[in-house]
Amino acid sequence: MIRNKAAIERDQIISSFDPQSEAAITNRKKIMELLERYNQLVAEAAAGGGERYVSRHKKRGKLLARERLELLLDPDSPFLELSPIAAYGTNFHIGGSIITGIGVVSDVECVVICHEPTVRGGSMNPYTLRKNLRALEIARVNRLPVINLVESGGADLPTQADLFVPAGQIFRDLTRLSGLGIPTISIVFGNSTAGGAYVPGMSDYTVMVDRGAKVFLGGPPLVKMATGEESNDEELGGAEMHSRTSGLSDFFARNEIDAIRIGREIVYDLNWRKLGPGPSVRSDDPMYDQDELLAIAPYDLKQPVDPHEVIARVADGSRFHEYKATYGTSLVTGWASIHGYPVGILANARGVIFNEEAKKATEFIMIANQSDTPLIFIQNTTGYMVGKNYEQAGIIKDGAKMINAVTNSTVPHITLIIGASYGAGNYGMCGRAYDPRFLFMWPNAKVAVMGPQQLAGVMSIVARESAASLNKPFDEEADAANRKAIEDQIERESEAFFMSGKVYDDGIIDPRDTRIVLGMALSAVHSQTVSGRKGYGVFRM
Amino acid sequence: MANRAEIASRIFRTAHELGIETVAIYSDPDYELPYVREATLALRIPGQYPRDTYLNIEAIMEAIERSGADAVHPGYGFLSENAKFASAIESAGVTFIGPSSDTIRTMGSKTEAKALMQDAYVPTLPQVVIDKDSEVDVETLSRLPYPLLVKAAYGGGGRGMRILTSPSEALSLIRAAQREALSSFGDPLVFVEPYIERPRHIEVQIFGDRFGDIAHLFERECSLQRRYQKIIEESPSPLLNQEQRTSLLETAVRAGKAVSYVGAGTVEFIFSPDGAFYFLEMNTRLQVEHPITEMVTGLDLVKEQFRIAQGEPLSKEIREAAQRGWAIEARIYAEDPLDNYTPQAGQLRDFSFDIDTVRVDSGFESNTSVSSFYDAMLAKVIAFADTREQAASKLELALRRAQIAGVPTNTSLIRAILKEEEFLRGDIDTAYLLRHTPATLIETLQLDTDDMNLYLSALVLYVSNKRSKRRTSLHEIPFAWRNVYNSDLSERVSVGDKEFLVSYGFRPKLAVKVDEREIRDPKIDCLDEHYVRFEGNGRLYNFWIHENGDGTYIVNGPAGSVNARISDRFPSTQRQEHRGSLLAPMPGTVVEVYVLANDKVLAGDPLLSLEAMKMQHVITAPNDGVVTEIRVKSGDQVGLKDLLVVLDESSND
Repeated sequence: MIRNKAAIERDQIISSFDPQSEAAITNRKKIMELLERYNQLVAEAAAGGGERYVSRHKKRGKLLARERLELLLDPDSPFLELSPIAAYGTNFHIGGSIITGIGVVSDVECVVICHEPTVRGGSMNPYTLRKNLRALEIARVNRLPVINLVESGGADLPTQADLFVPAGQIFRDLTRLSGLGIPTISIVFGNSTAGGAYVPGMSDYTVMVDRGAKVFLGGPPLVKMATGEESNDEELGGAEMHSRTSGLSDFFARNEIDAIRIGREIVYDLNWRKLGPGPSVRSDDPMYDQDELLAIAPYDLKQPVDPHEVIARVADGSRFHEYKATYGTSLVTGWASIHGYPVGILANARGVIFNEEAKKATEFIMIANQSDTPLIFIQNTTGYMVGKNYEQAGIIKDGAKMINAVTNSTVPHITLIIGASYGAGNYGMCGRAYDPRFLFMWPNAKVAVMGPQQLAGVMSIVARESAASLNKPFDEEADAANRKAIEDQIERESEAFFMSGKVYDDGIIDPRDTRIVLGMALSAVHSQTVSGRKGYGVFRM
Repeated sequence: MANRAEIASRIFRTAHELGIETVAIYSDPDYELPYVREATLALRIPGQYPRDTYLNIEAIMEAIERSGADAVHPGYGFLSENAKFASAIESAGVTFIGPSSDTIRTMGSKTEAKALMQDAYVPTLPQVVIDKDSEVDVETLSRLPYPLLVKAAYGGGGRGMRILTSPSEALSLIRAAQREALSSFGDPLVFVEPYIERPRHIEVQIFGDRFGDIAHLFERECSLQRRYQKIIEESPSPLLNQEQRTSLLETAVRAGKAVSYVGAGTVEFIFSPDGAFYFLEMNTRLQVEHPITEMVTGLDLVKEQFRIAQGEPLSKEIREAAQRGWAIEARIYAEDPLDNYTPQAGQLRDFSFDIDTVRVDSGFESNTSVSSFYDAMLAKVIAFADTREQAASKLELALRRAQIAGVPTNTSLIRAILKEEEFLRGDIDTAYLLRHTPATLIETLQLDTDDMNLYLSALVLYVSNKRSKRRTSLHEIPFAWRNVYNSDLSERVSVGDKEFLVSYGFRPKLAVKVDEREIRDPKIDCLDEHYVRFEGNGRLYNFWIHENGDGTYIVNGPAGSVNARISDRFPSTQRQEHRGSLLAPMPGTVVEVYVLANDKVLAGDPLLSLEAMKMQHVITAPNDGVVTEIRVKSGDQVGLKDLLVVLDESSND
């Protein structure tokens, strides 16, 4: 049932942002440049293994990974790809030679995991693994069926040392999903050998493509080496054999298109039902243009952003009922809805988290748990306040309360980093280590223990103090050069692209897509039950 | 009202205007048709087949008695020219709106009527009558010059008619005509007369009263026919000069006088290319095409029928009637002109016309079903204007803007004819549609690439929009949204035998391409279930799009309608038909199966016959082979594309 909140007067954010101001125009330009760079990276990932491998793959009469994906999804349904630029900044192919994401198949939201066979035969490197495991985790915590589109040459052998031991988790996660009643489906298009053979092996449903699938523990050369037996691919692991003899394949597909059709039918027959309450309030567009988020996203992280301006362009009807509006004003908290899903929002206003802000956040998280309301953390924080006054006022204790509340909260958390994410602010505002269901970043975001200048400055002060204590002369010139080098390194390593490359998020998003992405994430979390931690009442901090 | 559909609605309109209550009878398939609702009382006659319903005199007499009706209007077709029916009504003391049963009997026999006309100095063609029991006397036939025409003596509308081009085929064609005459008109009597090539067909509307007065209401040009059935009629005739017209009208009045005709009647003439005309037959009923006479004379012919039935003399309006302006009528049939005019059945998803510009006499409306039991005519659309040219373009525009979906019709064919040069010159005869095939005519309506691209873009976006609305998961998210652009989505759309690739995507604005041609600034608004506004290339088009129910779509737009099929994303691998399977070309009833399983047959051998819409179709072997399976027996009802017979070509050696 959709409650008609229109009948109730709701607070609506009145924007005071001027998109025509010079600062806004400049900022917009800068963000657009970042997006352009990002889009080039994404295009590189989407192009797969390049012209030569793509055409070789096509010549074999096979569909490209992204063609398989598009055919699997319900036509015209959205697809949220996760970590599209995984492995950025490494020697591996951007994208991590795997595609993961959330899409709709037979009207069911699923996690789709799709090998990219044009990139080194779809073999798995450490980033492939991270992305794969993250997708399985998203499926598990949000209770989303998993569809594997399999065609992988197995482990990338040169990197096996970083891979072999942790990769076992793929099979464990697959069967753990099954144990949780979350269906797993494998559609095998090609190679799925050795360890890879356990992906169909551990799935609830397996479809194999005639004369494509090769599912065996050891191929003909290995068998010959091991036992001297002569054999061929089809005998060892063809779709026909597995469908007629071994029974590993449940569905024999005539060709790739047929296999995808069967996969869609399997999902249809899951009779899937989401467990969350689903959208429950009116879902209308924000009053303000979402395009203006490009001008609002802070390119210069020193410029504070009024989070109301962001919420006004994300929340249904720009409605926001603020909690403790006049207390701890450096953190904005309140209730809103996105695509009809009620949410609580915590958003940094001026970067710093003081004692009041920490206490306010703690209370707010506790009441969200009382009302089973998912939380959205909008991060733009430079961390908890330092200094005598604050230490003496117990900033550690207050920060600890907030971290405690975030940690033990059981309502779904979704984190969005729109600017800075420094220090323990990253933790308190539900950074990656706090297991948010989803974490997205705007392209201008930066994540580090502290800001590059501060970090370099701190290191310089420490060096100066150390020199002084040893009564050594302090080389100002060397210090300046050193400071610059550290600043550059931290700058680079804290950028969103770099963090996204490490799969420390679920992807960078275009600020204009924020409402859509949060809407899809909220829909996904509602596949699982939505319930807060119960037991204690709400502590007034 | 001893009739159904369009004509029943037409009669009711005038009756109600005159304050006369009306009674409809309806068969089971007609339950939902508008005329049933329009009548002040509707009575069911159980059954489907005409012989059980609209040709069932006993049941209709009972309905007359039950309803207490004091007059019966027979409409056209069915029992309208059945003397037995008229006399049953007369003896029941009820008024029959039409001539006496004697007149019907005389005129109903084309052979008798011709004899009578000869006596009245009305020109006629020589003929040979073939009695049902007598052997066909080929000797006698040879007195007449081939080609000849065999016709049902009690027939009409082309049924039971065959052209005989040589003595060798005469016998079998005459037999076929007899069979059809029997099944359609209840009497196998046929006659043979010289066949006039490229004849024109012009008829005169007459009215007679009980005081012996006969008047004409001018002529109707009915030469434009397909399979001997009129599809476009007009008044006046563009083929007559004033002298011919006067002579024709006088002859018609003379013909009426010869039988002391009472009521509305039509004297049909055949014109040979040399200008000579001959009496063909007299129809003792209101004609299908009466509206064009109404348009040019300003009279309500049904009202005049009622007056005369009430015993009044010919009205002043009739006697002083003048012919003004030009009226053209198009008959909209549920048929496929590209498939030998095979009648079509199904549900009309939409059936509406712009009645502000044209007159529409329709028996159907949106969401009614067209059954295969009766004539496939759905409606008549009549345009009236000062000149013939204006009337033709007005009619064409009205048909172009008509919303017809769900059942294939001949609308495109008619539109093409209305734009065709020979037609526009008035150069028409009954062979017009043999000179111009439906395929070539319809081809002329082909949209230009720009229009086609807009049509198909609108269709594909409409379909995807609908699909998105049906989806429950993530339906709030803009359709086809991606954070990583993969490729445009695409649909393969076929129109006739041409295939187009329509691709669309969000990058991040909506972009649409048809065969790599980008549509500039596309924008779609699905305003309601079928109405779509599409903006592209700087043009705004309004479209009405309907799914026909068989996976095809009809897109009606400003440049006419396009029938398109969107290919399945996943071609079905399961429904593969056996090779050699013969499928029913139309829904109907199996009349007779001529073969047994394991029979060897040669290409062209008849396998079975099927009756649909009162026409018999023989299914013949497409190649030599052995009958391996027979799925039907006589009397079975079959649906379109049902499997009838399986023929194995390989096992014949």
